[in-house]
Amino acid sequence: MKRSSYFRDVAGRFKTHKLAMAGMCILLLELLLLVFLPVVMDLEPYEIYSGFGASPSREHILGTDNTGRDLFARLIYGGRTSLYVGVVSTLISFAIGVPLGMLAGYYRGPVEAVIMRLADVFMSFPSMVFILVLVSVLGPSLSTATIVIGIMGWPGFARQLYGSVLSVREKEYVEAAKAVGTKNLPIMIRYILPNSFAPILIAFTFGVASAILQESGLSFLGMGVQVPKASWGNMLYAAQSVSVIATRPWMWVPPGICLLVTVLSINLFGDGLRDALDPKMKL
Amino acid sequence: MGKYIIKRLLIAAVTFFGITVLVYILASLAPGSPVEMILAGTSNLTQEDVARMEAQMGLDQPIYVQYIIWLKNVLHGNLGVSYRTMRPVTEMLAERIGPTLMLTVTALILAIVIAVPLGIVAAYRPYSPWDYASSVFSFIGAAMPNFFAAMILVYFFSIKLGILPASGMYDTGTGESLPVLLRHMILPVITLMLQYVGIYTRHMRSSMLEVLGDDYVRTARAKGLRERAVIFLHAFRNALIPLVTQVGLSFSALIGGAIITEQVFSWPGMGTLMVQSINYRDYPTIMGITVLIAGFVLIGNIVIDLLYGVLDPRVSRK
Repeated sequence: MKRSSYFRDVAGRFKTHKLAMAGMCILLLELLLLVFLPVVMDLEPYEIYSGFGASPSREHILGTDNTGRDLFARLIYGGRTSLYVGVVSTLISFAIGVPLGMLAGYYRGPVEAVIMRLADVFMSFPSMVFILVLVSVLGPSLSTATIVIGIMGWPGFARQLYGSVLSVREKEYVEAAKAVGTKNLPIMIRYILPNSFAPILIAFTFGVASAILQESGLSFLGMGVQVPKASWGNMLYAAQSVSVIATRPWMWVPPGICLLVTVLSINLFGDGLRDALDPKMKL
Repeated sequence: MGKYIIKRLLIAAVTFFGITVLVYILASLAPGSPVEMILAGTSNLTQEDVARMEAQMGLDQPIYVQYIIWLKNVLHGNLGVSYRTMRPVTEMLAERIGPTLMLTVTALILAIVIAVPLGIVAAYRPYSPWDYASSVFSFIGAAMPNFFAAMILVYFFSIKLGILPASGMYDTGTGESLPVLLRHMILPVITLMLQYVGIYTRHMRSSMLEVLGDDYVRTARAKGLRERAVIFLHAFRNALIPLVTQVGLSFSALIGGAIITEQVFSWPGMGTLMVQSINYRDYPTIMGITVLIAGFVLIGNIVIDLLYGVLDPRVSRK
């Protein structure tokens, strides 16, 4: 009973947040397009057609790139890549950051000092520089980008969880669990983790947005997703010369707009989610 | 205050040390030995030649010994020799620091100078059209990939209007003068600061709103001070504290943004050098840049910590 009313409250608050609803609708629409367009349309992102650098036409609604690949097909597949990297790398950050944040908040003392100092180091040092160093060692590719961005994202989760664990661990139900002799690990998993659900979800949303931006930046430097694989970032990378910017805007405007709209929608969604989950926690 | 500064410096030193260890380990994991990199293209190399060269460079030592030698050199300002250009890395970095600092520092200062008054106005009239406009702007700024912003700026200002240069620091052949440099700086600086103007405005707004509701502001108003004095003498300084935190947090992202911005505008700074060095797997240069950036970020953080102490005396008395 209690549980369903909590979620109904959250959903109710979320629905009143117009921008957040708009963000969610755009994301859902985008997801549908990215998943189903390749099924209903004949999209060949890797096929090389004759006539490279073509302007938009009936066969290629966004023209073709410098090697003759269909740009609309690449836009759709590039979107899949961006979302894939965004979600998978955030899962990696989650897998590293949540246990560390939990340990730091639960055990305090030296464990807390080491983990949180390390998080400070990671946060204060430009992650782009670290990512580039790692890429130089591992070689640029989709999986490198995903893993590296994922590894660099852990402090966000660790901090969110740490803050929440600090308050949850003082609650009566945790004290009660300790009093009846529950071990530390079950306490963490069964009592503390579910009660830190809101901050984790929020960290996840913003994590995806920032991972998408990082991937696109990395690919824009030519250090991320490599052609022939498409990503919005590497489509812009291929279009960065002044002559392309001037004469073939269809090569760079659509992927740029897609990136902007996607990240904006995720951020709006996350903002609404934050207000809905925790009305007290406001920027 | 003295104890506080020493504590901050110690933390910074430990952080710096940690970063160098991490970067050194990473670079040593890279495939291919430095000797092969340097001698690439030289024909008829024997195994002995390679071994002799490795011994000469200290590569036959265990890794921690190599690290200590490297760190000692770094602290003496010797970052080794670039595999790509065969020039001392220190020399190459010296040429690149200026242009990068020029962009980042200008962007940071301008962002603060623009955002502070915008935030104050937005807080003074919350939920006014002006407030909404600044909030829309900051949302878009935070979601905008800066290379896309750069391309849009180039499209309008360099191509359509033809009034601002789209690349480099100077025009070819006209010599190096300040007005030319300033013209070249406009687009990269706007690109770099765009997102921070939004973020800082929001932070200034929310901290100003909070401060304006505080008791001492009510007291100041109650004793009949003019509104201007209330805001600038009483509220302003306290409202700055969260902004200072935010500025400190944005250093690292600012450097990341600078790497990309430099790339778009072919700006001869450390970012473009970093990208070139990675393409050539030029590890001495990559490590040199990383160490230098770490140094800068740490100095920036120390400055922020000291600013805290000045703005909020309670911090340093703890």
